[in-house]
Amino acid sequence: MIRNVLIVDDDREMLLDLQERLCQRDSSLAVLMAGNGIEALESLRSHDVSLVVTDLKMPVMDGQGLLSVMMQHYADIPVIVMTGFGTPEKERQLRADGAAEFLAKPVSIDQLARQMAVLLNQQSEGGILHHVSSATFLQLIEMDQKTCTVRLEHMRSGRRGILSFVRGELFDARVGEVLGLNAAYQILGWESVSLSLQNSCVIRNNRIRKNLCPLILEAARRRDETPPPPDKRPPRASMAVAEDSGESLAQFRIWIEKELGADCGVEDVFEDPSWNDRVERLSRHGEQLNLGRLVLAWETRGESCDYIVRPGVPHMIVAVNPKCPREQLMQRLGG
Amino acid sequence: MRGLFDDLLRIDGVKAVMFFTLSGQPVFEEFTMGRTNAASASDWFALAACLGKAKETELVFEKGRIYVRRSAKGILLVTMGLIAPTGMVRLISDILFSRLKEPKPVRGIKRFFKR
Repeated sequence: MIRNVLIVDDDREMLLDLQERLCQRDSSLAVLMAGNGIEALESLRSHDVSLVVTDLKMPVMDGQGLLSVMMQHYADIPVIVMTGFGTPEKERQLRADGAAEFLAKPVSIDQLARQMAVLLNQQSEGGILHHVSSATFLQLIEMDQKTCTVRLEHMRSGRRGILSFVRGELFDARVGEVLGLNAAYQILGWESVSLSLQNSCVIRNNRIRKNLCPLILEAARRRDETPPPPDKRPPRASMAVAEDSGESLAQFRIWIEKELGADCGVEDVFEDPSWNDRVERLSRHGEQLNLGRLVLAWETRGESCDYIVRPGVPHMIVAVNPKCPREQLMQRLGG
Repeated sequence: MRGLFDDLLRIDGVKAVMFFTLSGQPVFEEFTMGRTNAASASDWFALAACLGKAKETELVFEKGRIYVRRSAKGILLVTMGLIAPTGMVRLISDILFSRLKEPKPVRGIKRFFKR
């Protein structure tokens, strides 16, 4: 999953340099830039941001002002503050105001990348699950009386939301700018989600004040009464598979297992809109090189699973273990 | 140099073999049937760079395939037609990478001179 990191500084050259170097280091990062606090807030409104890195001294709205607004509306997003005018007292104050980390300028790229990795990894320290029913999973959190932050992505629309639990009680929710109860109803209405779990929660103010069960029932009622949005997805490109096997991921997995046998090494099949950018760039390069658009990709990252990417809307990812008969599966998928 | 890549170039369906340093400098490039478009080595490297740090990637496009392999020794890019024994390409690439030597860090004043 591509994660958006927003860097806020009025030094444009430094921003461009950081953007280039951070993207080179970690291809799963997309670096957004803003020149001051107001631009940063606009960016937060229009993007799902996982982390903010901000300078303190900036025109229009400084880092302190940005931090203060973020703690009210985007408290779940960690903020790293960089400054060339730091003192231990200032650091204490910023941390008390909600800053997750404090770095004294000049900041080395290694130091910044390390701090960013620590904070981003924390967001999924409790694990990542694909294709789960949000209602079922969240009820488990309530039963366990867990304090945690759950970041969810709706598989169908690609929208993201955050739920904050304190001792099993849902304290807050956020979808973009929407906070509290309305955001909770939206998120709880998502049937199939990918989610990551952070074993801590920075939210201390209970905006919800309702038990989870009635919230889930109300979210289901709202979902059922809302007519489903028209499916604008174009038909999948030149692959008989999807049309024959139906669009559902479960059906798709069954189809693969039927074609190659139950022991064919498929670990998971999921949709992942975070591939959009990379697939588009590869297709663009393919067209420039007279190869046409991307049809299928197999990626080995050196993890326990390899990934097959089938471009579409959204892109479908098949995670396979080493048992998978690679050539046969690629052939069946149209490669 | 060419000898290292001969086995790959002999595989039916392989159209080109390129090898780049991690910073994108072309070390080797050969097209079995001549260049079919005006793309330069940097255009091919730009495509490989989109793949981030994936160790090995096989890309199937509408009109051809590309196999990309990345290690500390550099980036290998093999272009093929739609019908090509990619299993064989992978196997020969395994052998090729085991033959390549790790670049030695250059110390002292030598590092300022182009080798």
